[in-house]
Amino acid sequence: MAGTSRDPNREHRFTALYDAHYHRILGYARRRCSADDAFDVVAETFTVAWRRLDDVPHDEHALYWLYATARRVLANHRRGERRRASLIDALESNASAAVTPGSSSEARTVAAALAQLREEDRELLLLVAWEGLEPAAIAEVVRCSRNAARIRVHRARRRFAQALAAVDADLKRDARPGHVVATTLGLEERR
Amino acid sequence: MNTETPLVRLERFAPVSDDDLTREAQTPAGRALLQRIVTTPLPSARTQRAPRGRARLALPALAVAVAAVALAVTFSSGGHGTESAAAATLRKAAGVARRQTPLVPGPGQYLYTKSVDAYMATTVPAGGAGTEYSVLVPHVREVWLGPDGGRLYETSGKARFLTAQDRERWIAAGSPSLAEHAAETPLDATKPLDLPSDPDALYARLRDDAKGHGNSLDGEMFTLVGDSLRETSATPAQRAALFQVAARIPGVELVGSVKDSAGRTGIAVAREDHGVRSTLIFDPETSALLSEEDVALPGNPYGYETGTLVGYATYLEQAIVDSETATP
Repeated sequence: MAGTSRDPNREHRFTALYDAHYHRILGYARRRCSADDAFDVVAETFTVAWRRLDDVPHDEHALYWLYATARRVLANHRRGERRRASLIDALESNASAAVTPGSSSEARTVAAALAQLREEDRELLLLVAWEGLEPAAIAEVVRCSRNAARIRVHRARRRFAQALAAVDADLKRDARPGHVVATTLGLEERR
Repeated sequence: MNTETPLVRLERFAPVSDDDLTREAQTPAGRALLQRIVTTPLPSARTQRAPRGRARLALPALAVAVAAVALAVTFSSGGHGTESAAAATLRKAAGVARRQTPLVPGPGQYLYTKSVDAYMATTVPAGGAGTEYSVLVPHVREVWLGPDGGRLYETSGKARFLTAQDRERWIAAGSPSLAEHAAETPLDATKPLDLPSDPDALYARLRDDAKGHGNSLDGEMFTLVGDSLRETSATPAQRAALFQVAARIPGVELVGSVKDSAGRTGIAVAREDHGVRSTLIFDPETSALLSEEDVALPGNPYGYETGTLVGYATYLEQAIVDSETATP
C-alpha cells in the first residue's frame, strides 16, 4: 500500500500531527542541545513519524510517542560524544560569565544541583519540570511501567531536593558562589 | 533562604519555553521541512512496520513496585532503638529468610504480588510558581512475573492532597482528573535475580550500584535493599544476604514491633536521610516485606510539614500461581 503514490489521508493526518506538536518537540530538543542540532532532531523525529505513521497512537499519546522518538534520536546524536546535556553547559557558562547576584547565582545553584544527579534521574526530572509530564505520560516516553515511572520520578525529585539543599547550604557558608559551584561541579566530573 | 520548591526552581531555568515556539511550524523553515518529509518515499510494506517491542519494566532487577493500603504505621514510640539492635534484628531476619520455601516461579508459573502504593507527585502546571500542587494517588497493583513473561494490572484510587491549599490549586487548575485509567501491561520474561547470595559480594555490589545516585551512599544502599526485596524472585539465600547487608549499613535503626497499614504486626527498621525517614516493615515469622513508607522530618528540603507521609507501599499478598490471570 505504502508505495510511491501520495496518499492524501496519510498526508492529512501527518500534517495535523506536525502542526499540533512541532513546537513541543522543538522545545524538547532546544532545551537539550544547540539550536542547529535541535532542528536536526526535530526533522529526524518527524521523518520517523511519517514512515511509521500507522504506529503513531492517537490523542495525547501521539505526543508521548513523539517525545519517545525524539529521545531516541537525541541519544543517537549524542552517542560517541559522551558529553553531558548541553543545558547544563549552558547554565554553567551563564554562571561563569556573570558574577552578578540574583537570578544568575540562582541559575548556578540549580545547575550545580542538577549536575550532581545521574543522567537517568536528570532526564526524568526534566520531563516533569520542563515538559510538564505526569508519571503516566513519562512511562510512555521512557517505556516503563507507570509505577516504575512514579517511583523513579519520586526518587529523582528526592535526590534533586537533597542536592539543591546541599548547594544552598554551601552558598550560605561561603559568600563566593562562583567558587563553591565550581567545586560542586568538580565533584560531578569524577564520574 | 529559598522557599520555593526544588521543582519550581528547576522549571524556571528551562532554556526556552514551548509557548515561545508555537508558531515555529508555520515558519518557512517549518513548512519546508514538512514538504520535504511528506515527499519522502515510504519504505516498502515489508520493512515499514517495525515489530513493536513489548513494554517492559525498565528497572532491571529492581523494582518497581509495591504497594500499600493504608497509611501510616503507628510507631510504638520511635527512635528508642539503637543501630546495634537493628543489626541484630536484621541478622536474625536473615536466618529466618534463609529457611523459607523459595518463591521462585518455574516454567508455566508466576510470582503473583498484590500491593497498594502511593508516592507524592507535584505538578508543574503552565501557571508557573505558586500554582503547583502536591498529591498522593494510591495505586492498587497486581503483578504476575514468570520465566515465560508476565503481566501487570494497575488501578488508581482516591487522591489525597498534601494540604487544603494543594486542593485549592488543583481546583484553580480546572480539577484535572488524577485517576489514571486501569493499565494492563505485558511484561517480559523474568530472569533470576542477578545478585550474589554471598553477603560480602552483595555488599560490594550494592555499594557499587549506589554510587552516583546522589550524595548519600548509605541511604541509596538502604533503598536498593528495599528494591531487591519486593516483587522479585529472590531466592531464600539472596534474601538472607540482603538482610545481612542491611545489618551493615550505618544509620539503620530498630523501630521495633509495629502494626502496618493493613493491620499486620511486623518488625520495623528505619533510616533517616536528608530529612526523610524511610521505614521497612517485615514479618518476623517469614521475613517477608510487609510495608514501607517515607515520612518527612523537621527541616526536610521539600518544605513538607514534619510527619507528612510522602510515599508508602504495602504488600498485601504474594504467592506462586499457575496462570497469568490466577490469584491465590
